[in-house]
Amino acid sequence: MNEKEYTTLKDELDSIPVPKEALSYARTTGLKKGQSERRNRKRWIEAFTITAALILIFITTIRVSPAFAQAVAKIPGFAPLVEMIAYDKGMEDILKNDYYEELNITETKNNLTFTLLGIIADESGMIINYELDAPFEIHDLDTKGVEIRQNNKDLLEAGGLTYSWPDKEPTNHIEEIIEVTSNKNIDYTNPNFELSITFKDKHETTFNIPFTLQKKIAKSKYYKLDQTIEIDEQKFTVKSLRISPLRAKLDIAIDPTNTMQILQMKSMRLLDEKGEVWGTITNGFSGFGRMRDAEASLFFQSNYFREPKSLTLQINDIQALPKGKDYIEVDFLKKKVLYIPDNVNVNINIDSFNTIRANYKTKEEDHFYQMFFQAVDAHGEAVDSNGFSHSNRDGMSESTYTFDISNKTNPIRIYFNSYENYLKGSATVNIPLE
Amino acid sequence: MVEIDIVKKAMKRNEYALLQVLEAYEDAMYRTAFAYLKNEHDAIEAIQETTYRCYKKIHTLKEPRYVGTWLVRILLNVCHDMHKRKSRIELRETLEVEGQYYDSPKLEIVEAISQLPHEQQQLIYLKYFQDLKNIEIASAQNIPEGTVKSRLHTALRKLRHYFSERREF
Repeated sequence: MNEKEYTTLKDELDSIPVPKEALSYARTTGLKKGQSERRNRKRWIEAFTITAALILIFITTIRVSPAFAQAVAKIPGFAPLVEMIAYDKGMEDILKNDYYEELNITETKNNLTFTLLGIIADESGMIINYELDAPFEIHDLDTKGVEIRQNNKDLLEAGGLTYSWPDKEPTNHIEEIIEVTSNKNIDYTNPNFELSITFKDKHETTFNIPFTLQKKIAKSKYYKLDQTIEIDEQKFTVKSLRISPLRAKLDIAIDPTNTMQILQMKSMRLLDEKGEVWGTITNGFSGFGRMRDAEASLFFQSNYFREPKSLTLQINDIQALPKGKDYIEVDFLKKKVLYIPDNVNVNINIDSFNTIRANYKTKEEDHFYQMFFQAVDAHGEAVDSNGFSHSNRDGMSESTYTFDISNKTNPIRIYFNSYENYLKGSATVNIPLE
Repeated sequence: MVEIDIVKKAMKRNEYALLQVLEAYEDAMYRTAFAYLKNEHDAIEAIQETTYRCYKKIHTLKEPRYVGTWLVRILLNVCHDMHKRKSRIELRETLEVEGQYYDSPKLEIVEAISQLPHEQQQLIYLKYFQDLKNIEIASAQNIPEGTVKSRLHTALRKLRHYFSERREF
């Protein structure tokens, strides 16, 4: 290319008109997509046989005594736990009651030094806190997998695991927690466990750390309730409440003859006789099962160490859609939306051969649930979702979902997981505690 | 060009700063994308995807002063991916994409460049569009200066060959 040709190239390129406005919009859209993904990446959830809904709500209303927070924040490795106090009152009680077992077991492999700092263990699960150090930069070192073994068996055949996906400033030191949630009571008769954690470094380093718990495990308090309540002609049975230090678990059954499909119970809380409130778990595992199943378990912040005389359960803001009008139907091949229920005000766009984008005007800035959860094809076969992103901005809620539709038959039916349509009314259940 | 301070802010994921940086390179980026993809719709999509990738990767940018080069490199990767994806889809659905070239300016040299392999196209755009020196390209691309020279040489020879062939018609 000589000088003349180079000039021609420049001129050719400069002659291309630039659509400024469209580009400005494109940049904002691109940025939004990145932001919402980052939010979703913050916590990585791995569920086994049971799916649990992950709700990300950052509540700032819970007050933590700053002196207390400061005091515990200085203990090495406690920073992530203190962070939890901000949205879980039960965690503050745990730390105040010294219900934490210090372990401090260190192992070094492939230049990575892993320290198992300590564990909070109860029958419902564990919170494991650890640190990781390296002579190099590790802020985006991902965790490949975690397993907790007892009697050489994976503890979590039925349960869930939450661990963080570090994504902060460059650092050589990471302090993090792993949350283990089991859907059956963990048996501590044998207090010997092994933690196995694998990182995604180039060696895929795995640490296998045996540990023994010596502190006495707090026994859960179990209350059988079996109380049926009715809201807007829909029936629910509150079956039982099990309170352990890490969480309170409420089992609830939904009457299959209900005319409405229950999607989310947005507002539930437990009050003690003095009117003190414990909300649901809002960051991390929020429960087992979904409202679409006949039975579900919902997690509340624990008041295990408070020993209230009585508790009242308040249920408000139940999201629901009429049965049979609780899904959309899409033909990806024809790029056509075949069905949107008439009572739902959502725009659906088919972005590509496997991706839909849904948006609607929302009045709710503070909460977001996934709009859709499961999909089936024309033969009723489950269609997996490969990924989703969600943003909530300027009064618009937008979600994109990508489905794995290879070998599936169109049309695809996609069920709502949340929609801002509420049952009228609320309910109160008294829970006597002997 | 943008100030280094703004780039540094963008590297800390200051969204406003990042948008400022992207806007500063808007013309160069859009025109490069257009040259590569040959239609407005795809070029705009490429800018959107580039913004998204930049936001995700901005912390990996090593030298703030090479931000332009870094951006063009991401952009060209995006264009390349989009181009590949498009040809895949066309193959599968045997679709004819019509009217793609309508109302686009006459881009003879750009057309010629698009015949080159991906990494050679990158070099041409880096060198001539961004007015970078070989040594700068080498450090921005993390390849030896000699490789830059030889790749450019091959690219230019191919271009000359392309033009000489066309002149025979």
